[in-house]
Amino acid sequence: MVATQQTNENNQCEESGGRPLLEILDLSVGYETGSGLVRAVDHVDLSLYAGESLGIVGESGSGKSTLVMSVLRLLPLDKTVVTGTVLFNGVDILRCPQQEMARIRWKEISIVFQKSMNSLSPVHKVWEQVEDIYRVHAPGASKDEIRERILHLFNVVNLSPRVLELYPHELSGGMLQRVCIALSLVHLPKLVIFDEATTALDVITQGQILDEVMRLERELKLTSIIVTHDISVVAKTCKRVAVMYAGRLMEVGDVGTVLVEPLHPYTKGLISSFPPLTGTRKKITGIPGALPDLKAPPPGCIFAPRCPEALKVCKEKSPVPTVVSRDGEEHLKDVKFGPGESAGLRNIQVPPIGAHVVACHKYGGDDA
Amino acid sequence: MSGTGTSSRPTGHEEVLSAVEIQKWYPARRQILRLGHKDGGTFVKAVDGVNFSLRKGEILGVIGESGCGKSTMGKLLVGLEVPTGGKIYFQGQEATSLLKGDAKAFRRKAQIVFQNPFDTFDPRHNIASILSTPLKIHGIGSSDSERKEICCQALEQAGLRPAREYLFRFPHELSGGQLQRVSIVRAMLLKPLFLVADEPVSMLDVSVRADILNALLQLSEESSTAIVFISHDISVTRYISHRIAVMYLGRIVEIGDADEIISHPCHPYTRALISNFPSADPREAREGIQIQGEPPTPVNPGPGCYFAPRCFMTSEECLHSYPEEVDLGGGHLVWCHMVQR
Repeated sequence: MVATQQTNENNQCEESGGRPLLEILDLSVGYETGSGLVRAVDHVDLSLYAGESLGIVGESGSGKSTLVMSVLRLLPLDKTVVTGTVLFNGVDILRCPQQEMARIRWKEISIVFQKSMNSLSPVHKVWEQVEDIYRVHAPGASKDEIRERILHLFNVVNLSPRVLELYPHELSGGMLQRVCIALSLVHLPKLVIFDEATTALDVITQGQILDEVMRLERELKLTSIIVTHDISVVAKTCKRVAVMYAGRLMEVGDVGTVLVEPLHPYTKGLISSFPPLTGTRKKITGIPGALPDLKAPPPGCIFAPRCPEALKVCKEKSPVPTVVSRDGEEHLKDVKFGPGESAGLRNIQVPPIGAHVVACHKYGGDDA
Repeated sequence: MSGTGTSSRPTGHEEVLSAVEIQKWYPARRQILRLGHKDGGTFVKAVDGVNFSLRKGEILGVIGESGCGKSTMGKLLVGLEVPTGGKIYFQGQEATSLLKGDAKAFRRKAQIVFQNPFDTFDPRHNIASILSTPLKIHGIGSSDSERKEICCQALEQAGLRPAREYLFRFPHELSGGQLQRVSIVRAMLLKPLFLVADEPVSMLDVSVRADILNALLQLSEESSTAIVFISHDISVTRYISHRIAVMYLGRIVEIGDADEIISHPCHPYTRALISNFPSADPREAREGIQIQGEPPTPVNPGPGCYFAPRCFMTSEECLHSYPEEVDLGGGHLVWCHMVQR
């Protein structure tokens, strides 16, 4: 797939030469606590091509929010230890200067949080806030230009222009969340991250927003990451899914493959805890046990203590993410993902588009 | 048999609970809402004429958007709120008079499990005291050691093993899933006839959610407790319920067999709700029915169908009169002008 991104006025065609828009390479994030380092994200490799939609699913505490926060460098510097590389469009996000980061945020990568509405000022009308935010990246913009852009986006997220003249307290939670989604799109960013953006909303509002997100992906050629604990949201909206557990990626692949024929025992467990909406009623089962202590993670596979299929090797050695083919056979066993030669970032191997990657000893996760 | 989301309804025809036209109107202050007449006053009609009955061991799921009155209804059913109109009957006896006459006996019959397990318990009591106090109050067990034994058994049954380890822990030492189990164990210890479960799994992680649902099903089957299961999660509700009631602005708009409601929803609101609920199976592509806006506050709604302002298939009639009940057979009832008998 040739990655072509339509941006706003300065319509640049990004020739990324087949490289992903976002590359997360061997990223680890640790939180400093009084009693030790909590490894919230542990050696994660993940790439996202332009035009793709990726869902990151996992239970609470699995590190999915930490992962996306580190991509935007939103974590407190004094309390976190971040290692690895994040490349966005070739820019090394974790090492670029602050000014560059300020330029990227909102203009190139924007994010919508679960309670984004709380970020709106209660004492300013929506319009004033829109104007303010718009001018951060386009200081000379005229009122008419801003109004035209925001009204177009309001139309897209199904809000009436009247909302501009209201204060946040006059709007319902669902409407505020829509305002925030519209705001996140004002600069037509290349990448939008929805971090549980629809979780607190009612079924109908959530359904409508997800439909809108999918339409925006088509119309504006958005690339999106949807972080959620609800696999049904991912099943509905995303093309690819990454399953996270205790800070590590368990399984990455196409939604149609991973959610229909999961290979990793954790993914299987997660899916069998969701009752189906239609069809025959199956007994659902949970995953026994709880998240391990991330200050002192168990040796070997992090999921092994709760895994119903754990082998002896699982408790000894960490599995290596391996590309598997559809029938679950090993496919590219010798490919190890991650940064290769120290600075030769161009030589990093990333899994091909649509690859199904599993980190499990049962599927060739032994060290190659 | 432990719960497998059985679709067969309980065979016993014994009616445990019936709600007849129950209402809960909260007075709304005129100054704030700038509505209403000088002396008539305005009301937020949280629950506005709900009718249903529940048989022994039956599980009724109640779904709807936030603000539709599902939680208020749950509180009315267990006597935590007093209805402003209508009657609730427990095995043929009127609930308010039961509550006045012998509150203890009533409480033993009707229990509730709340949404947030962290707020449910007194943080200074350990699990042993949390569980044995209701036993003591209701005079179950002759000695403390016997009561402790009962608690242990109940904990083990609910999957908290070894029970002795849990007995002397405090609520903050347990995870959300474990606490919610304790909450269910506490409610079921008295073998109530009737239990309200108000969003019992919405705060829990998906991996523990299944176990809690199965625990509820199992306990309900063992002591044939009827459950009103309130949730906004349609697939979870379908899993656990025999019947489903859909609420909108304080009224039931559709009620019927769980699978029937999910596969053949008739009310436009139910159809919108179900079509917008994402399925966990990516192969199941469904287009959500678009409806306008969000539920308004139920301040003097009507006179027509409450859903008419947002409905995608309104007729003239819908704006003038509230629809009558339409019986589609097999206990499937719907309140809509547009549904043909």
